[in-house]
Amino acid sequence: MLAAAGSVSAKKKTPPRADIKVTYNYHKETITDDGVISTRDYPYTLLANGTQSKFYNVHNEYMDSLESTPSGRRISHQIWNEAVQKYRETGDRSHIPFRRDDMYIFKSSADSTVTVYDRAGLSEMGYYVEPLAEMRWEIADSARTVLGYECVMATTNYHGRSWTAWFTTEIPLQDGPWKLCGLPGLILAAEESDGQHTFTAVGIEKCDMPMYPIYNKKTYEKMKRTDILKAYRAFRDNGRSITQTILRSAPSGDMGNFTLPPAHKNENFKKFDFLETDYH
Amino acid sequence: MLRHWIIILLMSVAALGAVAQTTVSGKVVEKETGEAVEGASVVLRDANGKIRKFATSGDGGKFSITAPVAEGWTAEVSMISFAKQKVALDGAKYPLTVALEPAAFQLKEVAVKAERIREQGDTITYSVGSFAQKQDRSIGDVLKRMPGIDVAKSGKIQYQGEDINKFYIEGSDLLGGRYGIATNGINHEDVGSVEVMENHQPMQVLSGLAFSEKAAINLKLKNRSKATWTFHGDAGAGVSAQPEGLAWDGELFAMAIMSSFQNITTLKTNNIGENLAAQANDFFSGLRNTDLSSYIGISLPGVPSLSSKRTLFNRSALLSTNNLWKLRRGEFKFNIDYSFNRVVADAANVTTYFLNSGNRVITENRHGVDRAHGLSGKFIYELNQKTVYIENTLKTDIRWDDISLSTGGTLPNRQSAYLPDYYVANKLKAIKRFNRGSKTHLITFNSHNEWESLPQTLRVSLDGSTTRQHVSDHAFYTDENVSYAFSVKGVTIGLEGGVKAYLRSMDSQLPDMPEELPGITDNVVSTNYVTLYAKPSLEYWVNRVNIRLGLPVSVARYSFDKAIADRSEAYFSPSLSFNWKPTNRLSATLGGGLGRSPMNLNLIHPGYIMTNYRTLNAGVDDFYNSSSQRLSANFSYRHTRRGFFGSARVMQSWHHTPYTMAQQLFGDYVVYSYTDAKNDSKSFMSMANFGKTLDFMRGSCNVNGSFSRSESQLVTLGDGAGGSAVRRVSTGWSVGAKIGGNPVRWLSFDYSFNHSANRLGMNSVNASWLGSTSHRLDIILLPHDKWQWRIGGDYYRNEITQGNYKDVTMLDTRLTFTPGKRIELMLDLNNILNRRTYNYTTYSELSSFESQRQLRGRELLLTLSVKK
Repeated sequence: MLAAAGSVSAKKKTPPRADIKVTYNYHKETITDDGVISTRDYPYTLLANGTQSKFYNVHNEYMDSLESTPSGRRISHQIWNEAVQKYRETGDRSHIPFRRDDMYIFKSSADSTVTVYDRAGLSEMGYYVEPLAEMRWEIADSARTVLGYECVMATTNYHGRSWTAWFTTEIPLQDGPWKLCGLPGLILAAEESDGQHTFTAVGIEKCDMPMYPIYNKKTYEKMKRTDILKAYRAFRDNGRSITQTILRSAPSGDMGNFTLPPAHKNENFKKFDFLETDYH
Repeated sequence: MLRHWIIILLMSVAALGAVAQTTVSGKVVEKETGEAVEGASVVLRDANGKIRKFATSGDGGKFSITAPVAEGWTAEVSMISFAKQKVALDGAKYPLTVALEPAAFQLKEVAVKAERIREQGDTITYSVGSFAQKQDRSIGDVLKRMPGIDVAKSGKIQYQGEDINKFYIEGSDLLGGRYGIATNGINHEDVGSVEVMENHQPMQVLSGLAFSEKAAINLKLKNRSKATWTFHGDAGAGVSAQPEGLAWDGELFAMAIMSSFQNITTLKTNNIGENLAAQANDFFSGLRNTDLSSYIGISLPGVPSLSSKRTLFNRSALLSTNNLWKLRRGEFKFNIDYSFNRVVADAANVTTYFLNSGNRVITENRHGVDRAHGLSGKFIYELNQKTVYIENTLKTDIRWDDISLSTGGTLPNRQSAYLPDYYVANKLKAIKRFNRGSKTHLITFNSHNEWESLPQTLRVSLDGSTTRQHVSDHAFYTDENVSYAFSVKGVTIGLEGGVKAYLRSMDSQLPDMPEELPGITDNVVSTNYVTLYAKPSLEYWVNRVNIRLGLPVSVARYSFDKAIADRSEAYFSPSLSFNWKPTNRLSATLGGGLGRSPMNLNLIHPGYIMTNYRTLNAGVDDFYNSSSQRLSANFSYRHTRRGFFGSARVMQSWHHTPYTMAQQLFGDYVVYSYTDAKNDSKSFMSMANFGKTLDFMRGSCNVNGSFSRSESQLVTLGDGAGGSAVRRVSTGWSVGAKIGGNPVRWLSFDYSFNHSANRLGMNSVNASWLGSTSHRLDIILLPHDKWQWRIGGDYYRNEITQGNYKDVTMLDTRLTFTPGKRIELMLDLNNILNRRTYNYTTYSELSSFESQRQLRGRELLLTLSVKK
């Protein structure tokens, strides 16, 4: 009886719990297919304790969690249907739960690894595991206050971009937004030198939320980091023709003559790139 | 050879001249157990505190950093959930052993502001911690700071300008409409977040069928306040200069929010200007169908345009206990309230007539005491499921109100009124929902029974003789109805039919009638009716627009026990409304209705009833109908991410009655009666409210404005035949603003401003606008964690006559000392300037008029506050 109970609890592994929840605003400058520069803000959450952390977009995780069970898929289907219905009636797209920026970053100091799940195309998803301590930080003289915490500036070059981060030793977690970590305190703000990617903490709470592992792991393919980036670049550069191909091969066929207006590629396109640029 | 030695020597000197590199190595362990701590940050700081090098403890808690260590350097070792350790490196022996002690991980208060307002679907969540300021005590204090939410003094809540329709604590409706007990009682530190559920349909069976424009509020408690009893209590005592003597203010509050049982019990008492009875008001009760209202109306003199905290001379107490049990099926609730309120008021008017023969002075001193007791009890059973809804509410409400008012001076008199009120009601509602194919059907049964008795006695002693007016008034109301609704393709069609009956008898006697008044002084009236009614309704959704159409028709038979001939009437009053919600942020409603309705039956009494020592009312001696039309538009917008909330509404209504109120003077008496003249009145009302969070200082601000205008007729009857009709137009507007926040760590503030003005016009001759302005500013200094000092003040500027202002400034201060988490000591000094009177004089060519009112004087209060 005891043995049976033991095996049940062993099977149902409880996820580790966080000590802290930090909400970041991920501000991104990007360019649309029409060559218009647009800025986007995505809310990201970092759950962390001393040894593990999870950095993710809460809205995407909600949809992903629904997709992971049959009853959830029904709800997800219903959310989509209602949102699309609303869009048809009113032209308001805000309810459609598009996955816009859907990376998940899991860091583990015990295994000294960082696992990144990211998009590699329209529906292709990929993941890779990297060693954790790859960033060589230089601590600078500047200081800045973020959310009432005195932060010290530090800089590093990482995967093609040079980053400036502000960390606080008042929160002794060697963690931060995205893959940034390895400073003797929590990183509350970070930006890269082109100003296209900025992370800023907008809230810090004590929290004991469980850090659930990724949902639908099967949908992610193990890939090399640079291959994911290359694949996604190809999708972004050829997004229109891919969309057009999909529409033209729609089963109903009534989109056969549908042609998207041509994209106005201009010089700006080259300027805007991903968080990592060392894949070219 | 020598050259070699020289080179070696030179190199050694150079190495010494450069800085010596030291390897700072060591081990991080847990103090208690000696176990290695991995993953701790080790930071080397120089003598200026600058970070020079850092590392992380690895396997076995070991670390090693090579750095040019010099004098004054320190190593700082930190890890989450441990206290930070500093080690001076001057003369340190390596390897170091750094022992860490476990410590709770603390965040700075300013940083606990993760997403102040969140939105998910129709639910908006406000984080309480991000709006609360140090000086706030109850959850109501914090709700006031949340944009989009408005809280009245009584605790009544509005969201986007509309009263809420439910108040939940952890999803349960413990208090019903008497949620003022919670808003004024629950400590905000027990609440984690406040959820506003827009378009809240409280009955699950109706979800998706009947649209609700109203919102509900749910308090989500912090985990530590759930499944346990929480208590807090305040005991304050001191002295007051006016009324002279002891001042007190005390409160005990206990709450248990558990999964199967909830309780809130509170006991409060004070004599410092806060009427507690208002906090136990039922904000959802609506009008009683027994429809009785007191004919006798005497009231104590008040001080206009000043806060009651400054003017109310009271002794008040409130005891309330509320229980909720979750049963296997449904919930059972039991509430009892007792309130007591004693108010004393004094006023004096001195009128001086400048006559050739010397001044003539007429003084009138008024002294009044009002003692009111209220006892109410409620038993509710509710079953709220997706297919069945049953609710039975039995309630009783008993009130005793004794008022005595003596007027001294030139026309001395004494009035006393005894106004008890006894009310019992039972309401049963049962709804069943079932689906047949794609159609949804609903059957509802309603049964309301209400009984009320409202005996009223007024005694007036004047010139040594006593007049006694007695009214006895009883009513019984019953309403039984069945309704059926079904929904096909988004259209909900409702059919409601039922029968209402009403039995009321009123008799009044005024045996000692003043001689100068003609007419009868006894009434024996019974006003009864039976009504058969049907209320078809239609509700439809198309392109995010909700359309509702109501078409109520009724046939009524009125009987008046032979005083007036019995009669039959038919009524039809259709209404139509459109609600458009193009996005989650925006909602707009347009509505209108028209119809015919029976008159207020309380007006049928041919004889006089004395309402106070110099006013008498005579009603109508026949039955009339009135008709009305109304149009309204509401608009609300919110952008939760930006913390912006705005709402506006406009309403216009017209009312037509075949009778008009007439005023006539007989000697010293004013007599109100009704004449046959038609009265068309109309009223217009508009208001707007905008709120915004101010995140840079954890604050918020609010701006509001309103405008109203109403027009009606009054007939003034002269001594001779005929009279003159007066068209009265009253116009008013107001603007207000509030701002508060915590701009720097050691300071927070609240400021509010209000200005209102109104004007009365008679027959297109307008009196001038009279305005009144009030400002309130509170500055809270937080020099230390344990100390808090508030300095606050009110400034009032009231226009007495055109261009003649009365200014009043009141200053208060409070010093709070918080020695521990559970205990607080407060020292209040109110009305520091000891302003004790509110007097003003106005002059005309032939006379002067001086009004004298009393204010609460300087008051010193020491309060001990304890919580668990």
